[in-house]
Amino acid sequence: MTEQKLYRRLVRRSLHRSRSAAIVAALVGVILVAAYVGTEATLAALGRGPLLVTPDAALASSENPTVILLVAAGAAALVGIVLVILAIVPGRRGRHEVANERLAVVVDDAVLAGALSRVVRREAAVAESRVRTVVSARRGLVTVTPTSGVLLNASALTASAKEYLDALELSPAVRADVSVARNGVVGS
Amino acid sequence: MTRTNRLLNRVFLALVGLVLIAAAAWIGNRAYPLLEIPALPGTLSADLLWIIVAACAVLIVLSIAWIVTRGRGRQQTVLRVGGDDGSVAIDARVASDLISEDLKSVNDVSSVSATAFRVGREPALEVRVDARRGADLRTVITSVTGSIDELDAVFEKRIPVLLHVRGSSSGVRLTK
Repeated sequence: MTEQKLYRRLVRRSLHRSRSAAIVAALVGVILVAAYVGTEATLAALGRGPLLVTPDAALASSENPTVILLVAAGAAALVGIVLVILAIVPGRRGRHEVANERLAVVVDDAVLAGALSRVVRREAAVAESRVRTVVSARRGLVTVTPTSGVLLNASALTASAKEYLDALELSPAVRADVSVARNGVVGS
Repeated sequence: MTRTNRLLNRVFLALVGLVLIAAAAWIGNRAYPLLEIPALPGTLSADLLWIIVAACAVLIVLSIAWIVTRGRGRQQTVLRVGGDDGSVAIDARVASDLISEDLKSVNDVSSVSATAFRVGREPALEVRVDARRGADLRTVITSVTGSIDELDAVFEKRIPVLLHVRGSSSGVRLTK
């Protein structure tokens, strides 16, 4: 495996969930059900009394389901749908890849948000608590609360945030969007 | 980073889900018939019961096997240098200590840890760096790249490295 290919693989695995937790939970359920069914079948085969219900009685009631059984079937269907959805959706983590010559680099979105906040805070010359940033898969939304009476140029701030993000060469790419709150506050 | 087969995780997840949906549909169809489905046998013979027992046992064993094999692939050794007169195994902790020592002076980094894992036959290193709030990402990445370059010089080999920059827990403030 070439290093480039290897790095692509490492990054892809880092950006997505492994679904190990989900499959472990599902299999624990499978084990419990199989253990119960196996026990009832063993007891029936040996001619002993059932724990709860004999296999024959269970089959008979599935042919003619009661309300309780129908509710249970509905719950099972719901769990089944959730498992199928978990199997299909990509399971992206809140991370981005950063281009680098030597390393495969992934960064938590929280770190990206912090870095963007810092860039905008310096440019706008406001306190740390006045800048809020939320980074999602493809967008970085920065909200600045200006000091009353000081005009901030949102497009200039957006440009500097964009420049910062462009230099990182993120994948997937993140579009910076700085907005200035309409009402400023008094003080620094 | 592990060697877990993620595609099969998803395949089995879908399989368990589909079985649940099918069982629910079977029972639902009895209450509100839409399709003609064959009737189940009224009584199960002893032979059939033992087959069910065996199938359940196999299912349990396979499930346990699948569960315990998740997350494999981590290892202690990050590099093995072999010669005719013996070989040296370098523990991932050595790499971890070298990098943390090197990054001590970088304020934006609050902690560093490194673990080794195996990809195919080759060992690789995963370096996790906790960045302080509001850290300059470029500084963090450049510093880590620098210390990995030094690591390459020490090991006399370029090992594959995955760097994960994590956000620190809240409460850690940017120091000036």
